[in-house]
Amino acid sequence: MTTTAPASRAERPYDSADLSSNAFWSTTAAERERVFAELRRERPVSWHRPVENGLFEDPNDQGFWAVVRHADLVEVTKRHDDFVSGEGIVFESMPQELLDAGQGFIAMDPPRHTKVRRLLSSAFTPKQMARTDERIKANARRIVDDIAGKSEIDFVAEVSALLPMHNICDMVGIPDEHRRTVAHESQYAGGWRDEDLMQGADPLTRLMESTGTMRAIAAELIAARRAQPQDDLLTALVQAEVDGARLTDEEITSFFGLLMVAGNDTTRQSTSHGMKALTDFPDQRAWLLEDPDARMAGAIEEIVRWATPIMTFRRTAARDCELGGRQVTAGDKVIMFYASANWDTDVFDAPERFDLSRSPNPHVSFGGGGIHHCLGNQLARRQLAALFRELLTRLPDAHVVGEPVLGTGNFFHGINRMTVRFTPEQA
Amino acid sequence: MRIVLDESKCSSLGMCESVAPAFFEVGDDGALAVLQPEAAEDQRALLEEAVAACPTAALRLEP
Repeated sequence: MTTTAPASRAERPYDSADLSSNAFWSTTAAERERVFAELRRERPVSWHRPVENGLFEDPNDQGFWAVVRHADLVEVTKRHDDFVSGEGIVFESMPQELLDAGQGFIAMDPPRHTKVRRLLSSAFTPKQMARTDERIKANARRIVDDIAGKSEIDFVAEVSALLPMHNICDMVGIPDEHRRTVAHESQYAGGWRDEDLMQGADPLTRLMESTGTMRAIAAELIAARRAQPQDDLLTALVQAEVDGARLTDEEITSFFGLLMVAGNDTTRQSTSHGMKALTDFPDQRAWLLEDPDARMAGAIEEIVRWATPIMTFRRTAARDCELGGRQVTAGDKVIMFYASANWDTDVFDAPERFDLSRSPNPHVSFGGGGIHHCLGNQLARRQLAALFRELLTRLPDAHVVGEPVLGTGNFFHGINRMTVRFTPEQA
Repeated sequence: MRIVLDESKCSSLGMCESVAPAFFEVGDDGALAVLQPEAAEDQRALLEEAVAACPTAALRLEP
């Protein structure tokens, strides 16, 4: 492999593959995989022109490195001193105000990240999740109860969106009256490129508006918890100290925003993609239902690999260094492509096959094992297991009708609407 | 063999716990506890896997 001379960003030639256009991000995962496969095979770390139609004009944005192989993605994740998160975690450059408001500790670096993360970890430990499991199962039951008498639903609105909404809101401590607002508004942070969601609104204006709505709800709840502590995550944040100091309302608001986006919009996509795959591969569904107790955990791993709900995260090079034989310069954007890593034939046999018995299944849908590894991974797994068990056993003929309406954008692998039909449950 | 934890590096992800729950537990306060710091030699493979799973290199085995 050749090492390029450390040319300045502006002089570095762009790769011929297109990962930057709106057209690329508006097509299907299968179409994008054709491009990723070529890059994984021939140019695993490649330099690309800036993504089209960014949120605002950033004259310093000259492009990004694309990391498409599983091994390289894991390496970037683990080299958190070389590749930092503090300058943003998505493709696009962002106004600082939005960075501060929405990205919380996911866009922090050590040492502060370590301390804040530890604070929140207490709510998401394996043992804490086991204690929450009854609540998660009850929420799955409640969702299926509400659809069971019907025969046709929009699966996204009536199932996929509600499952994570109830569970994350239970944990954080968000009362019913705010849940739908919070779940809806949280979509804009990652979905401002989605035409269907935006309905013609100006992205920056709508993002600011959604941030304002979330801040107002967070402020109300923070004040309520200060006055009267409850047994929830918000109370834990209000009472917590880091380096001998309480968290500021700004910080708590920012964590609140992150928990809502990360908690709502990820599992939503995995649930929808899972339902679609279980429709498209009836043999896999039948195999799962032969012994759901023993097979569900492994099946969820494959559903999460298949869905890859978050397609990209960004790091920024903190110093000049090498990556996959290429010379990276301090300040360069480095983008990790999770769907590509999850289809890497160096790691997965026949990745194009939806195989619920796949083992081992070292997918990177929750991250490559670095310090930002998905805090809610146990929560997500438990939710998906509870939901599919409830759904597939009570509504065994539930199936997707027609083609789902896919979201557009480079962050969430979104499904916006998807019709599901079934024989109503006998009361 | 002894399990050594560097608390300044640990961010309580619980990756070690998911590999070897008999040895590690992230408590309700978010701090990682090493439940059995002294381990028998036949546990080495498991513990090496747990140590390798830590993204912040907060764990090591001695000797």
